[in-house]
Amino acid sequence: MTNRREILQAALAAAVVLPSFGAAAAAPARMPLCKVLYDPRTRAGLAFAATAKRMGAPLHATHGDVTGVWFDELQPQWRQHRTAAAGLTDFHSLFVLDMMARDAGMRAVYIATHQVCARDRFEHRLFGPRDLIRQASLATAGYGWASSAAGIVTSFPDAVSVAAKYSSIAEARNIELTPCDLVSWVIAPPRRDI
Amino acid sequence: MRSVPGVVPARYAEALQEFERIVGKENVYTSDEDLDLYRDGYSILWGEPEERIAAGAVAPASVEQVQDIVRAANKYRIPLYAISTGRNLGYGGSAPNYSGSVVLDLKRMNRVIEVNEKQHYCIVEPGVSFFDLYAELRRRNLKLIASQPAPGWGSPIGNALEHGRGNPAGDNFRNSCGMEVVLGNGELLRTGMGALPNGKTWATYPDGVGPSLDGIFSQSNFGIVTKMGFNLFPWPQTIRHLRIATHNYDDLDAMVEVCNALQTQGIGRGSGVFSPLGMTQAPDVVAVFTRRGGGTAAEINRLAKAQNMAVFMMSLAFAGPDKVTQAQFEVAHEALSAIPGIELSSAGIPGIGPANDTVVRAPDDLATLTDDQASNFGKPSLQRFWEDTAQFSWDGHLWFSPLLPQTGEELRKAHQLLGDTCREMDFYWGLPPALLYNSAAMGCAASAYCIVKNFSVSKSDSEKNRKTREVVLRLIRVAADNGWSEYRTAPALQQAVMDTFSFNNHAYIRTCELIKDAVDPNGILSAGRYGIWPRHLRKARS
Repeated sequence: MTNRREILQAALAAAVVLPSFGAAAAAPARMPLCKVLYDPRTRAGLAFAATAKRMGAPLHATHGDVTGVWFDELQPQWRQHRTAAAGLTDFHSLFVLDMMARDAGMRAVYIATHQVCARDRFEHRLFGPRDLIRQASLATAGYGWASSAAGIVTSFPDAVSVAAKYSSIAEARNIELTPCDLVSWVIAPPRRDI
Repeated sequence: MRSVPGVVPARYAEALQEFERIVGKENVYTSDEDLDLYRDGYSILWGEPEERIAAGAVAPASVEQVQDIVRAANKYRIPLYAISTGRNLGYGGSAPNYSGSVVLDLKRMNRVIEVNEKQHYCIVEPGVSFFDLYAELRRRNLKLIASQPAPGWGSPIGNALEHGRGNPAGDNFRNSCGMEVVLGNGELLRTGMGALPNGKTWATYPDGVGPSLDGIFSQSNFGIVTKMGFNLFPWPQTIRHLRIATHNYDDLDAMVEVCNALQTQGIGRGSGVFSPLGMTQAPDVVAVFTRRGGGTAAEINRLAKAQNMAVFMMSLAFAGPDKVTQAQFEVAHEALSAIPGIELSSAGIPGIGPANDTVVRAPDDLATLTDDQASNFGKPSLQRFWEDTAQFSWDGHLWFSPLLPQTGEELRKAHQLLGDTCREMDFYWGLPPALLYNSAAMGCAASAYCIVKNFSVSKSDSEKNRKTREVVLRLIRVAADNGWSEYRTAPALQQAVMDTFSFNNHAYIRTCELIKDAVDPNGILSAGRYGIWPRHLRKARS
């Protein structure tokens, strides 16, 4: 079950402190990202991209259809090396990229849903590594939550497990969203204990 | 470790160890987090005890590994369920028919074995997706098209074995030629001219000598297809479209009749019948289609006028040399102009063809075309899936797809009867599209309409899913009573559809069972697929 801390009302959450590149040395290894997707048609997308850019992320603008970025960029990359990707998109873009990533032994390891609950107000739910989610929170003012979301995905730890003991990602399979809602996400090769 | 029905855990553990010896430990999946990926994300049984769940998964990389796995499965009596890319969403995903099966995931078998640019064919493995094949054709700079559905994330083999429909071929199975199959006992079979060692027409002449066996491996569980040949199509020099629209409900019969006559002469490729009015969510329209009977022809015509929307729309596409398509266009235009009140324009159906008056010409570079135009030259897309999903439900959907005779009269009757069945159970039926299901590229006369009705699936409301199952089961029955049947359906409904094929005391399924017992005596392959069960799981037929 998702606990109270994991259901974050934007109005109640505190601002996240974004890790800087300078501080990263002391933190766990960050997951390298080959692409960070955003939709420039949305205010949230622009706020997300601005922060991701500050974090040095390789940005890619999408306008709903992810065929091009997957076929021309992600798939060739994933054939060579399994490298993580992230983004703030509609749910469908994540859904198809997650499906296609499985051919490369990758999958969504982190999903945050950002559901519209009123004009410019969003309700957020986070699924992924339990340690990370316990510590994460999203900024409150305006579209600050999108900046926070960018901070989370661009500083995501490397080699995370998706086992239920360590991660709530399986619960994300039951989420119900509308085309108006957004999701931030990380697709990566998970750590498999075999 | 999950459990396999009828197999003690220690024995299953031994089988897994043997699978690991064959494919490597990293290609055997037993954890919940790995097996969750094999759930059918669009299951109508989502989260219920009856949801079909895999007990494990194993991913071979070669035919020899498939054979070894099948032999091991026979030894330990482990039920297998073979998938190619597992993205048959709406008709079933990667989940088995029989819970507790081990998914045989063929995605690592992803080689394009051969592309012949002069004879226009390819031979591929099951893990090759339409995108992979397109990439290979582009890499070789070949101006050839692989017939594909929307979206292109599935595999040519998986899609063809399900009788998926593609552009430009129509039925993709009919567009295939020759296959290699691992039978239930591990034996390797090649069909058609492939049975001739070094047969040189394996992928160009389908029949070989003796009986043609290929058909028994579609929608069945008699073997695991590990290679298959497909025809490829040269880029046409030009593509023209002719759109036919009417605001009069009763014009449908004449539109269909004229289009059929043209197509049976090889003039134009039909899209099927769409209803902009029947698909709109405008309250006045919804009110009429919600009422029993779905509105009279006069009411529908009044709505069409008020909404300024066509009641029915069809299109013909003409592909080939410029002079030929120009002549075909003119012949079709003249024939259809004879129907009073019909509106004709040189465009496609909105959403599935060019919306403006364009003649699409084969480009030097596909990048110069819009995605819509490029799809006519074989460029796959993920966008169409997005459009369907966004329009209906992001939780998933289930297709109800009955085939009917290709006449306006029968289509109107189906809308009436199937629509009333839905309305009686509080489900909406506007006028869903009826796609043309045929070998259109060949100008083949044998064809049918396939209504594609989408029912949304819920991830959280099992009661809603139960009601949806109930209405679809009733639709299957009503359709069968009128001589119509689904051509393809999700695992949860396959038994119900097969049960309607009851001619001569179910002679069809009884024959399938005879074959099953012969080629898969231990019943380890894809138990229950399309209602074909191995002997030890067979129930008494009522």
